[in-house]
Amino acid sequence: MLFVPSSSDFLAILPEIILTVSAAALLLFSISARPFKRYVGEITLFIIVVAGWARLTFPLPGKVWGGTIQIDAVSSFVDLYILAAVFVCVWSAGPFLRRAEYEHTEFYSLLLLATVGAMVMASAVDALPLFLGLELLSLPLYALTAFLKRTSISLEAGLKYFVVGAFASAFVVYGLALLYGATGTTNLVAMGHAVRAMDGLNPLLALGLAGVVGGFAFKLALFPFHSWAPDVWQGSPTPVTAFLSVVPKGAVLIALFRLVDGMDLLILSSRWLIVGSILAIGSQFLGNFAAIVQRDIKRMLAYSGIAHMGYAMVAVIVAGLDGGTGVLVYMSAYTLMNIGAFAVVAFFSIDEGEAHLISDLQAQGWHRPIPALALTICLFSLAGIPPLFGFTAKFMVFGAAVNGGFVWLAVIGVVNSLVSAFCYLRVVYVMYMKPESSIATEFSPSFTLTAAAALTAVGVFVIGLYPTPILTAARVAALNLVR
Amino acid sequence: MTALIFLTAAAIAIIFAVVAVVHRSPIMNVLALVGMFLAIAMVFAIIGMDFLAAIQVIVYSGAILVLFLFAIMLLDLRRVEGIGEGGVFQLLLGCIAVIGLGGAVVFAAARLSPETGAWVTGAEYGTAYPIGRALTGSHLFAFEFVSVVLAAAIIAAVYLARRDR
Repeated sequence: MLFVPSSSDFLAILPEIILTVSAAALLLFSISARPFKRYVGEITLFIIVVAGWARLTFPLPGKVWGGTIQIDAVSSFVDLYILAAVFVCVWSAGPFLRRAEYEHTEFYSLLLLATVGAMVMASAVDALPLFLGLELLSLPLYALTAFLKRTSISLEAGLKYFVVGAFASAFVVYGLALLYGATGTTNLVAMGHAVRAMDGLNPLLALGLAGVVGGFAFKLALFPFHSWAPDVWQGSPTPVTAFLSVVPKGAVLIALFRLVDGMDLLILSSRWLIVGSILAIGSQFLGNFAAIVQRDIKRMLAYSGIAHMGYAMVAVIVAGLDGGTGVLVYMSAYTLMNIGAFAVVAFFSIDEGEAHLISDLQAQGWHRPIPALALTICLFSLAGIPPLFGFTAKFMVFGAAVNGGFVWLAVIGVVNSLVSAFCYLRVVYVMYMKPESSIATEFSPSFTLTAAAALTAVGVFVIGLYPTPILTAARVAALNLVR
Repeated sequence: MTALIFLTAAAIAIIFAVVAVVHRSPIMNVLALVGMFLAIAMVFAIIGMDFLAAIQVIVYSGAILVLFLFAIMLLDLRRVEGIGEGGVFQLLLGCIAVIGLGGAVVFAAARLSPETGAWVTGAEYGTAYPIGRALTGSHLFAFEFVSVVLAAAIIAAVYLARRDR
């Protein structure tokens, strides 16, 4: 049957089209209209708002483009937290790039293209757009990681991320090829049907799944595929680290969930539970215990990110409606609090080539009260302290685990949350209880960064107090996410 | 006979792939890659994928790798230095990983029965028609989306390679 795209096919991907066209237009604009080049950041913010508006306004038709893309409540939920994250990244990138003297339009262009990749990946129900989305997400990020070309740790981070990321992509595409070989279809839904019709995993399927899950685990920085994360997070420009820490994970985790839930892996194979819980529990323990000994706050947040993906992985293992809701709520919470924390890290940064030592933050709680308070709220939320959003998210995930009969996973998760509280509270302790260090006076105050951090912190607080709308939206979206 | 040709092609592909990775001269790496792609084209031809086999030769061996070769000659890269000198420990770990992964693939392949896997058949099997139909039909989105991916890669590469004023 010949497929001819209709207007609803185009309207469904209007946000992606807006972002892609703008990414190209920004580059041309900055060459042809040089006097306006310094407003590129503001224009990008406007474009992101327009894309978000388009996603909210136009109908969500479900399967479009011959059934390879599914634009529904999941897309709108995931796209909105991705766009919110990119908005804060771009917002905090302006003063950051100006200070580092890297005001190139490519930064915004590549950021928008990576966003499109993440959005397509989260909406893809076919192996082909799934993989291409992953590539469009990764390729710009390799360059963005190395964006500070005159700084060696940024280049090192870019090279490391490129090598590891290309390796992971190769595993994903090899795995997807084997899954296609085993089931005869590239459609994830049909793939799930075909697999559920089999009795158990055949070797081809097992190998394909291992490739895909392994590759995704690389991208998610799950134990034992995590070793690139701390170096890359530390070396990247801080707004890029903020993006890197949330957007790829939000998209990859949704794709992983679709695959796991579509094939009903828990029923299909007893080995999946072992593999999944090694990824989840290993990441939690490694992330939290390694975070305790870090002196650089970006490295600390990197290990904490590994641990958080471990918690989110619990929801993927549980699968079903509860698991789906858990994944969505957890990723939105993680996005908000991590972005806020990184906006503050960008505020407390003097030179990108230097380490961002936690000890440099001494007494900042009194000297720069607003960013310090925002960081405190975000870190408390990351630790899962009520009544913040992070607590709600952990509650949903561990609640889903208990309901699904995985009490042990929930118990291990709660124990790990307690351990993690130590490394977050240590930063707060340094900020409020220690005398000022000599370096502290050099932080140049930035209204933009303060506002970005304050806004996310208020978001974390308010949603924590009144989570019902988000939880309802996640529940509705999860109905579309599960098979 | 088919099995013999397949095994020959597979052996050539593996040998060339290893050479492409371990040889110190970039020119030799690319030439080995050309050889590997030709062997893969042979495998495609054996299973009746005539169109893919031709495309493999024309596009990969003919165009892309020749471009690689030109780039390497222009840059005058004679030898790759400093790579693969990570010490005995890394070498050992790498070997274990390769043998483990290769073992897993061989183990899985050995336990496969001919019925496993979905076979695509039909009158137009192996011709350009079904491929063209898939690319401009149900996979139209992916087909167009590739251009965005390539554009992103170009922007990224140009930024990294550009000399700042």
